[in-house]
Amino acid sequence: MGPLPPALLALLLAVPAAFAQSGFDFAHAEPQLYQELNPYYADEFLKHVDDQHANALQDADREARLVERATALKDMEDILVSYVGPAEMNEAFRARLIDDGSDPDGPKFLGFGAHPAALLAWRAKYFDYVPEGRVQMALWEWSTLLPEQQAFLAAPPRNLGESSWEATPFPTRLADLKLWGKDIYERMMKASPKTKAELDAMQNDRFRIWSVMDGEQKRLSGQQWLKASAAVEGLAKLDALPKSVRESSDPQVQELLARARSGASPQETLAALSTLFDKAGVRDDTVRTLAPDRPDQQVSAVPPGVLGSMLATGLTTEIADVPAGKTVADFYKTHPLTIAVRDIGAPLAQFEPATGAIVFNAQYVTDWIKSQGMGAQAVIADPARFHELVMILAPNFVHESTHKMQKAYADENGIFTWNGQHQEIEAKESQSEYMLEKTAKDPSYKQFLLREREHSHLVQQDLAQTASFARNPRDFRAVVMSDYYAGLPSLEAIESTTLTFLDSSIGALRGELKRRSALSPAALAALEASGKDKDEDFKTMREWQAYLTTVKTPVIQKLLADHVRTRDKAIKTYELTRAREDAAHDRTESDAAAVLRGDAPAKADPVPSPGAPR
Amino acid sequence: MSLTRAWLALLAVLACAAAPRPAEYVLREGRFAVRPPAGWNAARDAREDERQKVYGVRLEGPRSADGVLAMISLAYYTPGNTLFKGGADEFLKRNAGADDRFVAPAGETTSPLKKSTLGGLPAQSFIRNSREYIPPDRMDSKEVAIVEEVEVVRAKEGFYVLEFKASAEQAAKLKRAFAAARASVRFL
Repeated sequence: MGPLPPALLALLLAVPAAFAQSGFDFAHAEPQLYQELNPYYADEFLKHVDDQHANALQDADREARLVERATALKDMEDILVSYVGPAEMNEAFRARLIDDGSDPDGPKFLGFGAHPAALLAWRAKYFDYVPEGRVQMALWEWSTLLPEQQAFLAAPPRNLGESSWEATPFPTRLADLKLWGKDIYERMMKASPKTKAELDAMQNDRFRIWSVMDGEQKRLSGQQWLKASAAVEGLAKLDALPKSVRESSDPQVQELLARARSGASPQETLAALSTLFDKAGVRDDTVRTLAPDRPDQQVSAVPPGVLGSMLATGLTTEIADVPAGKTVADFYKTHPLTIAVRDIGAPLAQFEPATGAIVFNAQYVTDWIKSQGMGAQAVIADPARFHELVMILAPNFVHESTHKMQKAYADENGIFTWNGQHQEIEAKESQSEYMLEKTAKDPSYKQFLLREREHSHLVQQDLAQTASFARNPRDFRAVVMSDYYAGLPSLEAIESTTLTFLDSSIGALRGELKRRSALSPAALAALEASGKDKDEDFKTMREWQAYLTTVKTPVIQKLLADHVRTRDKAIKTYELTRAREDAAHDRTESDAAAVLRGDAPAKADPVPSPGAPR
Repeated sequence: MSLTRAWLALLAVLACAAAPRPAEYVLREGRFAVRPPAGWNAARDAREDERQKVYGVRLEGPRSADGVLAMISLAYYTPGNTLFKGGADEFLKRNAGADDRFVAPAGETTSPLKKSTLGGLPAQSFIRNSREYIPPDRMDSKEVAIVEEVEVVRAKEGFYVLEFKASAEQAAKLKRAFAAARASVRFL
């Protein structure tokens, strides 16, 4: 029994301590957050807002640094505890372990980017129930790499082995492994499988490099694989085509058959198959949807600006008869509205702060036009059909317009526009409130949704989000933060990080002024006579600090004044943004509750459809 | 007690001690206490609670491969809360009732209300199967099946809501963790 009681004691002591009675002043907090990197303490620290205020009264900058450190620890804890898949954990690390330790004077991170082994030790100390293997895979530890990856790293010029790889910072590991996967990725994206075996080989390549692809590469390779699968499945149907088609003497049919079998890309094969199937009367929705668009179905078939202008008129009219939409429509009475339709990747729509435009995804609009079996010109010439396009885009228009209103508020009040979860929560609530109000008020809109929910991916998304909001805005907010926009920082995190960066720069400027105060009059005069007259951009804090020693004092004084002003602006940004968000949530939640209770069964104003007689 | 049984008893204690067992979470405003499952994180936004006059805690568990964070939440809705002025009745109507003025998402189902007991008090519960689309508002968003279990307890004033939400893929695996947390709920 000898060794067991001490072992039991050790295990009991390893159980996370309760900090309810511990202090959260600087003397207690700094060792816990800086030396111990104690995540349990960080959790408790962030909950004790009163203690944070007390610290801030003593030294606001020091307290801001503590909050930033505690937030970073909590964030890392969330990743370790929440992410069950090594690939997802790895993606989270890529966004956070960006410090390779090469700039000792740069902003202070947790140090895990420069020393991945420290993160493994942190896991062992605080989260030993999180499987070590999962974190090792997410960090690309040597033992988890494929033999071919190890061979690549071991070859010249890297000549890496297990121990040198252990000392390699995370950002360098990422760069090295991306280089290994580059050729395989390019080969995979150029492949045009024609058989199941070739398709399997393509998929195998995708799995081999899965752990080193970034999110965009995963998305693009997924799309390519989907097209390749459809092409292979479509080719398998060729033998089942009627003999009259397979052995047709029509040269066009023979050319399509040949093109399908020899297509240099899945897209080429699909284009040939789609036309061939249409000719043969074979219905294959997958091939039709994934085949390249016909030129007349593309948005570019409509004169530039015409579609955007029609959408601007149609959308503002469509939304104006319910409170959530009227807020947006009223905003556009005093602010310009530009709508564009062009390629923006995967998002359905986005607000572009630089131009102020609301941009809809051209591929989405084209796919919708294809689904109607029409050309783009025919859709805009048909008022009823165009109204359907307007109805399907309206919730996203309200969402993106909310972002435009957020930006306008910031500009008009002289504060920053910070992109974070707070913006998305407000935009999602406005979008959902709009759908609730519109459905309650407009029977034709309700009928449209009932029809579209069976096959429109966008309507399904909109309805699911709106139902979640209607059930409980509190839960909806949690879903927006935890599932929809988990990668975005909160308003509080942005404020804290901004202040930390500014304080770091202000500290450097004040330090330089202090250094100068100790210089001899002659040395100072020489510096003022020959010093540089302007600031410059540098990659690291150390380089900038060195440069500061060479500029004239008025330059430093001006920089200091600018930084202090920016700091004040950051504080004002938080206060005004938070107040604005609170007011927006109060209004949205209250308006939605009224509609759901049936307090406001507003009758639809007779707003004619866009394009219809007025 | 034989030597073997003493060893076994000690090993059982050790097994319990080996898994970190978070302390019971007691809401600062009183009202309730709950013990989070091991490894789950307790979070709250006290400022937002004050705005809504709803006071609660979110217990955040593992994230599914699809990106859904498993969550248990327990909250006390005061009589003056800003979200459900009609109290528990309005909450249940909006959550478990059908309203044909609106369009329900395709494939969403809610079970009938069932009587239950939570923390020694009578409760009403239901299960909902719904969907999330992650990431949202994108052409490549993935449809993820969600399971939610919701339980409502009427207090003398106001009401409590206990909720469990996870992706369908994870829900079965987390059921025991939720059951343990549910069993630990104490109303103060």
